[in-house]
Amino acid sequence: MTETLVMGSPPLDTIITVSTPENVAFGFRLAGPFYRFLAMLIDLTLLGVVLFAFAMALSVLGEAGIGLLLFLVFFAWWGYGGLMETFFNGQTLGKKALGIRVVSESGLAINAGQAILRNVLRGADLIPPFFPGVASMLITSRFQRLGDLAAETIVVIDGGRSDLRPPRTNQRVEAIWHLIPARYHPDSSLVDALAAYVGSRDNLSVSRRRELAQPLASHFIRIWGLPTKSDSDLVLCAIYSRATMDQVEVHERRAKRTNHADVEILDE
Amino acid sequence: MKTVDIIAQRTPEWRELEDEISWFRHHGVQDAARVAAFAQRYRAVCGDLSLAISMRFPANTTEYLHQLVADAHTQLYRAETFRLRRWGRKILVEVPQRIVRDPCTWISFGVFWGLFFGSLIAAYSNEEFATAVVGEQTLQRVETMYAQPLENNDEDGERSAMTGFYVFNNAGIGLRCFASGIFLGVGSLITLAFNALFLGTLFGHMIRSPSADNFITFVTAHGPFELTAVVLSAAAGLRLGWGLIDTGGKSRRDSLRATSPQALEVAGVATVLFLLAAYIEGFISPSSLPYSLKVAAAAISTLLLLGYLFGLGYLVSWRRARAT
Repeated sequence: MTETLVMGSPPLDTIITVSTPENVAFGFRLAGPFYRFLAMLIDLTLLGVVLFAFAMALSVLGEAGIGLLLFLVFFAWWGYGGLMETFFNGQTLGKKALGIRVVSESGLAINAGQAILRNVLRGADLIPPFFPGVASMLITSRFQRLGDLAAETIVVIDGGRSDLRPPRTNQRVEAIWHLIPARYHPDSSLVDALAAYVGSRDNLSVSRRRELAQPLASHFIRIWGLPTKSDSDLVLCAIYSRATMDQVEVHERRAKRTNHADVEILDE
Repeated sequence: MKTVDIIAQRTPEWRELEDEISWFRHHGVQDAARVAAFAQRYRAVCGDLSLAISMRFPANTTEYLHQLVADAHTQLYRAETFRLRRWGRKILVEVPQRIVRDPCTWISFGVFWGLFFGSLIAAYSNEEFATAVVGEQTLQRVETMYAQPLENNDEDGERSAMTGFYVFNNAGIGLRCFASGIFLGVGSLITLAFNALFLGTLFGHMIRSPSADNFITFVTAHGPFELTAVVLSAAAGLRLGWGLIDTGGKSRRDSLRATSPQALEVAGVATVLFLLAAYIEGFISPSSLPYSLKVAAAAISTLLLLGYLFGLGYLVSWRRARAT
C-alpha cells in the first residue's frame, strides 16, 4: 500500500507549506498580529525620530522647511513601507529587527506592485474605531490584513533557526536492537511519533525521558519478551533505529545504482 | 543509528549553506559564480529535506532543514527588479485607456459633478442651505480669507509651506478615499459625496458673496487637476470595491487580487495629479499674476488631462496597430 508523504493531518500550528520548483515542500511559520504590530511600532518610532531630526534641520529654512517636511511626512506615511519592501526583499527596518518578512502567498518574493498596494491599503486597515485590519488578521487563516488579501501576500518568520543537535547512540541501544523480532516493521505513524521523540529527547532529563517513553515501551517489552528492567527510553530509540535503518539501506543501494546526486522520494 | 551517520555526514554542507545565506543577507546577490554554487548547494539540501521527511529523521533535524530550505529559498528567489520602461508604457498607454473605458470612472464623475452643481445651485439660491451644510463659522472664515485681493507679498517660503501642506492633506485624502473603497466601494462614495457637497456649497455661497472675485481668481488655476484627481481617486476605490461585487465568475478573493493592481495604478495617477495641483495651488494660485494667466494655466491643465486620457492611450495603440 502506497502511503502519502503527508504525516497524518496537519498540526494546528501556524505553519504553511510551500511547494517549490525544486519539487520539495517546506514550511514557513506565519508571523501573528503581535509580531507585526511590534514591527509597525518600531517603524513608526524610527520614522518619527528621522522626521523629527529633519524638522530640526529644516527649521533653518524657515517656512519652506515646513513645506518640505510635510512633503516628507506624506511620503514617509504612504511610501516608506512600499519602497522598503520592494528593495529589501520584503522587509522594512522594523520587520528586519524582528526577523519577519513579507512574501507572496506562493512563497516566492513579492514585487513592487504588491509592496506598494499592501502599504497603501493600510489606510483602510487602520480606520478607527474598528481597525478592520486587525479583525481581518484574526479571521483569515493566514493572518492577512486587508492589504495582504488584495496583494496576495503573507508575513512569515524568517531566520531564527532551531539548533541542530543530532541524536546520540550508545551500545545499549544496539543490545536491545538485536532483540527486536526481524519481521517487525513499524508503520509510518509510529515512526513519526518515534522521530518526534528522538528529536526532542536531548532536551529532557533522563528520568523525564523514561517517564515519557514508559507507556509505549512497556507494551513492546511485554509483547516481545524483552528484559523487564530495560530502559524505556532506549527501547524506543532501538525501534526507531530499526525502522529507519531498513529504509536507509534501500536508499543507499538505489543511490549507488543510479549514481545520482538528487534524492528520490521513497514510497513505502 | 544510520540516520545519525547521514546527519553527521551532511552537517558540514548544511553549515556551509547557512554561511552562504548570511553572506547573501549582508552583501546581496552580486557575485554570479557564488550564486550558481549556492543554487547547486540549495538543490542538494532540498534533496536532504525530502530524505529527512520520507525517512522520518528525528523531528528537530527535520525542523532545522525546513528552516534552512526556507531561508535559502528566500535568498534565491528575490523580488523582480523595477523595470522603468515597462511601467512607463503601462502608465502612458494602458492606464488612460482603462480609465476611460471603466464605468467606475463615469459613475464617480457623475456623482461628484452632480452633487457639486446641485449643492452649488442650492447654496447660490438659498442662504440657509449653505449655513446648514457647512456651518456659519466656516463660511465666515472663508469669506475673510478672500476678502482682500491676492497680492504678491508672500515669500517663497510660505508658498512652499502651503504646497507641502496641500500635498500632505489632499493627496492623503485621495489615497484614503481609494483605500476605503475596499469596503465594497461604499467608503469611496461617502468621501466623494462629502467632498462634492462641501465644495459645491462653498462655491455657491462664495459666488454670491462680495469676495467672489478673489475666490474665483484663487481656485481657477488648480481646479482642473485637483477635481480630476478627486474623481479618479474615488473611481479607483470604486473599482476596488466593484471587484468584490462583480467577480466575473472567480471567487471574491481572486477577483479582488485581479482588480486591485489595476485600481492601484489609477490611484497612482490620481496622486500625481494631486501633487501637480498642490504645486499650482501653492505657487500660482495665490500669486498676483494677471487672471488671464491663471485661466491659461487652467486651460493647459484641462488640455493635458484630455490629451492624456483620450489622446495618449488611443494614439499610441492606433500607431502600433498601423505599424503591424
